[in-house]
Amino acid sequence: MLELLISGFEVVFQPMTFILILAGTVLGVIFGALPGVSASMAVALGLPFAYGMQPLVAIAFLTSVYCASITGGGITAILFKIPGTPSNAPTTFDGYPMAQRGEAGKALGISLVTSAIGGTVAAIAMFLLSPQLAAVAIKFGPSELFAVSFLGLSVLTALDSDNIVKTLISGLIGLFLATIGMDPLLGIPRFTWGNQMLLSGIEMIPLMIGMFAITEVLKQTHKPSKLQNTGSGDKVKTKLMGFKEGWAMRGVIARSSILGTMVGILPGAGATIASFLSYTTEVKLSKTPEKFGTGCSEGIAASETANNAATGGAMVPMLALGIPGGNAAAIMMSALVLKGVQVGPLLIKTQPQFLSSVFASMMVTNVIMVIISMAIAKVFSKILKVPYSILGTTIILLATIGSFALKGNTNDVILMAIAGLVGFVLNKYKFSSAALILGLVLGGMTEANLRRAVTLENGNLVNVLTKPITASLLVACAAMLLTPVILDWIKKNRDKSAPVN
Amino acid sequence: MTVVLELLFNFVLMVFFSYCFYFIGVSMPKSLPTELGPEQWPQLILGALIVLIGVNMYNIYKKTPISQRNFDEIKAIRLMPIFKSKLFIGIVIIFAYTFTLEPLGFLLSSIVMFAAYALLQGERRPLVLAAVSIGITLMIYFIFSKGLGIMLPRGYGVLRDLALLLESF
Repeated sequence: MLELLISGFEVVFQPMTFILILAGTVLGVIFGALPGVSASMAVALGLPFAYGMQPLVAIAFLTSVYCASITGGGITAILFKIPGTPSNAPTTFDGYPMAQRGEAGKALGISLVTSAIGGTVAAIAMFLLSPQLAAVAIKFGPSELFAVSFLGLSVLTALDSDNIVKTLISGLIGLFLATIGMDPLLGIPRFTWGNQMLLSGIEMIPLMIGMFAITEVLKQTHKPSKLQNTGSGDKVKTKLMGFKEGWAMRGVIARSSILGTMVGILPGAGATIASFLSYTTEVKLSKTPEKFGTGCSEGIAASETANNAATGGAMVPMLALGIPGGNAAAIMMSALVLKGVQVGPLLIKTQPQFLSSVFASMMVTNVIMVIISMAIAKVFSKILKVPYSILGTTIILLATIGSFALKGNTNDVILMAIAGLVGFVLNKYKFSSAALILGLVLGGMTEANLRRAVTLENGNLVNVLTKPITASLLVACAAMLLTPVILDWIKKNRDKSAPVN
Repeated sequence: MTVVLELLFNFVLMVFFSYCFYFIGVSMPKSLPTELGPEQWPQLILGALIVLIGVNMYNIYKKTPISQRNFDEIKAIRLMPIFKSKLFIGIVIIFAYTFTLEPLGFLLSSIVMFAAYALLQGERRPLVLAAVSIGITLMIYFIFSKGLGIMLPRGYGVLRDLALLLESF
């Protein structure tokens, strides 16, 4: 274990890698802080930079972009009431009122320190949990692996509990898209309609870049959002949280770290669910819940600790099982696959340096992002003066390079544009792009494992589904799929039976 | 109007996926009883999709107040305002850019796209438009082609020669 740790830090502290992590952190904080650039989009925009890197360096770089973008998102949430990433939305509830009171520096300090603590706790959890999970998963056969990937799909209903049917449709569209191209077992073309381009299937990276970057630019073109400056953004001086203040919030920080890591581990559930869940949990547990929403430190700590903890959690299923814990992890996984790295239970056994370098880069990023964010927060009002006419168009350029550089093919750029348009339409009618991507990423794996398992059992599907581990996992899947549906049904019935007044 | 369009969108999806369901059934070889054939998994997904889209359409219809269930609204859709909207022009610019990327090369197509999209987004100063579109495109071009070794499209003919000349610096 110690050797593994040392090897991770050796990779990270190589001069070039360290400089790239530093650059990734700066890029992540800036991308994250820019409204309309989510953490997934930040990672997607960081992809073209990573194409020329070695796999270990690339994953360290992308990890730093990911972690730093979540933290950077807190800056605009506090100063402008615009969450840089969706997971920073609960930070606005208390961060913005605090900034309006003239305590923007204090709010930023709490946000940065708790982000670093959450990220560090999650990185340690990831380092300790991933090998254990991978050791179990390595014994799995096709039927168990099918159940594991199905478990990843079962969180679909939890992604947007208000639109369960639409979320399921989005996930199924993703699964359908994954069937386009060569059949994984027999090599027969499916849904290609004689088109050579479709033979290799739908490329995930251009599709993700389109759905995150281009869709967002189109949304901003359609209905631009405006910033509400607190006035403190011009001369903000971050005051880091002291030990005394941190100790007073130890319960909040500990609970949010654990909750954030656990939510992050669940495939599909990411930093956004973690921060909202943590915030509402703290409101419920607090002796003074009325203070939440008026600019209280605990509110900022709960949200920022949890969303950063989710970043580490999201890495666990990716590294241990080859199932992304969220959209950003899905993009990182695609980048690794592109580099010829086989992500899954065998990765940790055969190439443990991936785990250690992700861990080391997360630890380093969590420390340096505090310093970088402090510096960036100081000049952020100037960065935000860049009009969206220039920022949005630059995003299109970076997205184009990210899609083109994948294979040096302009067809991927066309795919990116189509994905952007489809993403916009789906978003307009409240379908879920996140669910679609989850379906696309897990589709191939789910199908291939199910079909292998059925072939091994001579076509007896019942035998496949009743194996002890498979059955247990499928029961868990059913519970995860049905819980939000049942809760929604109970809520609707309660609303109906409630008196009109 | 939105409800009608949403129902129409769902209907188009349903027709497309129904066709895919039929297509995969007729285009794949017959599966053996000892395996799950290449058409069965897609048919499972497509079947679920068709049912769920039907449920979604029913939900949309049910949630819409009777007064708003006016399907004649579809006749009131005017195409001109759509074609003149910022969103439509933005989509056209992005698609034109993706199709001209190869023949015109990254430099020229990006400079034109940058200026056009920034203009669409409200940047009206010609000098700023020219400086920013040329400056940012060149900066990105050099970072990726020289710094990171990613070869971007050079275009055809003279444009290719120009790109090669720039790369030689």
